[in-house]
Amino acid sequence: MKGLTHFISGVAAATFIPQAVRMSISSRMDIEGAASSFILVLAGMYGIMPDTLDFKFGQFFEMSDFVVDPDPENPDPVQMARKFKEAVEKADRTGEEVRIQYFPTQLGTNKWRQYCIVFEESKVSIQLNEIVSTSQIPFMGTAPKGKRVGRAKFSQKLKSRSEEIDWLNKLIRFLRQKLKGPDRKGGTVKPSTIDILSSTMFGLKKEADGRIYFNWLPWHRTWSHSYVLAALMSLPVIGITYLLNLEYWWLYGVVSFVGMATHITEDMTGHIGGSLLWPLLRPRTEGFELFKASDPRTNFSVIYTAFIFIIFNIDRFTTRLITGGPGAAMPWWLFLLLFWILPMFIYFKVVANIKKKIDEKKKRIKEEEEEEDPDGMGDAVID
Amino acid sequence: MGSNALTIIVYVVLGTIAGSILCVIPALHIYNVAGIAVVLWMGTKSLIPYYSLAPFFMSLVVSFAFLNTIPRTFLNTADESAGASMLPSTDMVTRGRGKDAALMTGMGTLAGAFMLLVLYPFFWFIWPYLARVTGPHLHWLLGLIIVHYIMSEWPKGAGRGDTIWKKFKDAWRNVFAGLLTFTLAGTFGIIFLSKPILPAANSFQNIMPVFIGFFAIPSIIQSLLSNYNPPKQYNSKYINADWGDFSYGLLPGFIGGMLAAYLPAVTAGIGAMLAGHTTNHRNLERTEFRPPKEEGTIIDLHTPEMYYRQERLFMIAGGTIKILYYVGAFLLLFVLTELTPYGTGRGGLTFILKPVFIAEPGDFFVMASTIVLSASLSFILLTYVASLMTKILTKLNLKFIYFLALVMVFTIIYIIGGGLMGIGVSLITACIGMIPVFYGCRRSHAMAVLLVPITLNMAGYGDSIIHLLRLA
Repeated sequence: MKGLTHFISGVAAATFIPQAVRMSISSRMDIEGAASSFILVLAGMYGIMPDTLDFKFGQFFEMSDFVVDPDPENPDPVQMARKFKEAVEKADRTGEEVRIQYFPTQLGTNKWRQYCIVFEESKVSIQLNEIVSTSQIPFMGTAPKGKRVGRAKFSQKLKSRSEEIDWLNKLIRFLRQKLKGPDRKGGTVKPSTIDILSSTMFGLKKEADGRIYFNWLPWHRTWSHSYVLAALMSLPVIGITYLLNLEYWWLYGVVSFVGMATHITEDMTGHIGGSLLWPLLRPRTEGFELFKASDPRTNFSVIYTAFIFIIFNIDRFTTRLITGGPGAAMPWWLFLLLFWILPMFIYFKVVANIKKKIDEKKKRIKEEEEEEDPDGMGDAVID
Repeated sequence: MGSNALTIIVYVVLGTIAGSILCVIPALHIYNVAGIAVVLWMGTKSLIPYYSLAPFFMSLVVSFAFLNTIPRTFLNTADESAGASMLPSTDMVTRGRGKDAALMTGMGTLAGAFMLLVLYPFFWFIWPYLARVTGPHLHWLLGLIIVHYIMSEWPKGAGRGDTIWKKFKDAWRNVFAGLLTFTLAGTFGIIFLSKPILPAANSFQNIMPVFIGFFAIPSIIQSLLSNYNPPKQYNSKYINADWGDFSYGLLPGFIGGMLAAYLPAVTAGIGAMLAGHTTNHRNLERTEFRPPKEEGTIIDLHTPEMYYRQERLFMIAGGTIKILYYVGAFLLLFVLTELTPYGTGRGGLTFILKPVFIAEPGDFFVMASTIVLSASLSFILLTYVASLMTKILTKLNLKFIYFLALVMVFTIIYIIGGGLMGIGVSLITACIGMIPVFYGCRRSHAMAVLLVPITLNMAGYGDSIIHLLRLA
C-alpha cells in the first residue's frame, strides 16, 4: 500500500487505545488525562517507518554485482541484455545470489528514456521506448530510430516463485491457498519497465532444481518489515519517554509498535509480503496476494476507513458530541452506517461502474483493431 | 434593502477588479494578498460601508483565485499553491496549449466556487461537529501533517555510486534539501513570531516580507535565470477535457481544499499533495504490455487514457483546491451554528477582518451570492485575458517583466512591509526559499515558518521552546 495509507491506518489503529486519545486532547479541555500529547503522531511516524527504512536507507546499503546505467545519448540495448545474461551465468556458476541493477535514463528535467525488460524462460530482451515525462506520459514519435531491441539467450531457466522456503512461508502459502484457491502455475517472469526516478534491482539465485529464482527488489520488505524489529524500535521510544519522566511512558512504545505492526500486517495482503520475524527468521515471506500495493480502490478505502475511525474514536473517548455522550447526535451504529458503510458502498459502486466502462472500451478497441489489422499493426491508442 | 443590495453589487464588482489587478504581481502568496487588502481597507474605510466590507474583500479573493492562473500558467511563476498544477500547465504551455491549461484550471476554480454553494448542507450539519471534535486535537493533527510531509519526501536520485556514501549523496540531495528548508523555516518562524523584527507600525504586515521572500522572490529569480521561451500559443475554441474529468476532479479538489481551508498553516500546496495521495486513481487502468505494433519491436507498452486524464485532473483539482482554500477558509467564518457560534473561518483574510467585522446570521447567503457574482465575472475575465495572452505571449519581453516584478515586490515591502528592515527579512527568507528551487525539493517546506510555531503554541509548548532558545 502507499505511504499515506500506512501512515493514516497506523494512526487509526492507535486511536483504539482510549488512554492515548485522552492524553492527546488539549490540556485546556476539562477531560481527565488531557495532556496535549503528540503520542498519536508516533503511530503515523512508525506507520510509514518500514518503507522509510527501505527506500531512504536500505536500498542504498545494497551493492549490486552488475550495474546497467545506459548512456543517455546512445543507449545500447544489446549490451544491456548481455549484462543480464552474464548475471544469470554467474548465479548458475557460483550458486550465490547475484544482483543486477538497472538505472533510469534522465534526459532533462521532465524527460526520461523509457525501456522495457522482457523475460522469457531462457532469454531476456530489452526494448528502448519513447521519451516520457515524470508523469510517465510518452512524448509521441520520440522512440529511437533503429537499434531498439537487444536480446540475449542463456542456457539456464528462470522462474518467478521460489521452492526453497521456510516453515513460515509454507504456512502463509497454505493459508493463501485455503483463502484464494491453488496458486497459478508459476509462469515466466513478468516484464519490467524502467523510466523515472528510481532504479530496479533483481536478485538471481540458483535453486536445488537447477533453475534460477528471479527475485524482484531483493532489498525490499526484508529486515525493515519485521514485527521483531518493530518491537525493538519501540524500545528507544520507551527509554526516552521514561527518562523525560512522562506519564504513561510505556504507552508511547506501545503506540509506536502498533503503527509499525499495522504497516507490516497491511503489506501481507499484497504479493511481496515481508520478513516477519527477522532477525530470528531472515527470509522474506510471500504475501496473501489479495491486492496489488498500488490498487487505488484498496488505498482509498483504507484511507477513508481510517479517517472515519479516527473521528469516531477521538469523539467517543474525548468530546462525545457525535456518539456516546448524553446529548450526542446519534448512536454509534448509525454514525458508522451513514458515514462509513454507505459512502464505501457508493464508492465501490461508482468505481465498479468506471472500471466496467474502461474494460468495455478496451474490449471494443481490441475488436476494432482485430477487424482492421489482423497482424496487430494498428495505430497507438492514446486518447 | 434594495439600495444596500445595489451598493453591495457595486463593491463586489470593484473587489473583483481589485483582485484582478493584484494578479499583475506574479507569484504573490494569498497571505500577501490579505496584507495588501488590509492596506486597501485602511485607505478606503471611510468609503466602504460596513455592510459591503466583507463582500468587497470576498470578491477580491475570489477574483485573485481565478486570475492568478494567468501569471502561473503563462509566465511560469509559481507561488506555493501552484505545486499541484504547475508542472502539467508548464508542459502544456511548451506545447502551445497555455490557453487550455489556464481554462482548465479556471474551470476547476469555477467548479470549486459552485461547490462552496452546494456544500451548504455539509457546512451547516456536518462541518460544525467535525470542527468541534477535531478542534481540541489540532496540535497533533498538525503534527501528523508535518511528520508525513517530511517523511514522504522520497529520494529523487537513483542512488548511483560504488560506495554506500556515494549512493546516499546521489539520492538524498532533495531529501536533505527538504529537511534543511523545513528546519530553517521552522526555526525562523519560532524566532520571528516570538520576537517581532518589524516596526510596530507595520505589525499587521509582519508576515508579508516573510512570504514574499519564501515564495515570490525565489520564483521570480528562478524565472529570470531560466531560459523560459514559450512557443506560439494556440487560441483554441475548445478545451481538451470532458465532463468526466471535472467529476473526477471534485473529490481531490474537495479533500485538498477543505484541509487547506480548515487546518491552520496548511496551504493549497500541502492540501493538494495529501489529496493527490488519497485520491489518485490512475492505476485503475494500468499500463499494458501488448503485441508489437512497430516493426523491429517485441512489445507495445500501452499508456492508458487514465494517465492523460490524471494530468488534466492536476489542473482542474488544483483550481478547485485554490478557491476552497482562499475563499472557503473565509466563508467558514459565516457558518454560525450552535456548535460554532463564531464560525470556523481561517486564513489571512479572516485573521485581518475578524477584529473589525462581526459575522451575523444570514451573512452566509450574502457571501454565497457574492461568490457567484464575482466568480462569474472573474471567469469571463479569465477567458478574455487567456485569449489575449495567447496573442501577445511571444511578443512579451519576459526577462523585463520578471525584473519589473522583482522591483515591484521590493517596492511593496518597502512601502507597507517595514521599509529596509522588511527588505532585510525578505532577503533572509528568500535565501531559504531558494533551496527548493535549486535542489528540487517541495516548495511548501517553507510553510514550516507557520506550521511549527502554530503547532507548538496549540499544544502549549510555545513558551517553553522560546525560553529554551532564550528568546523571551
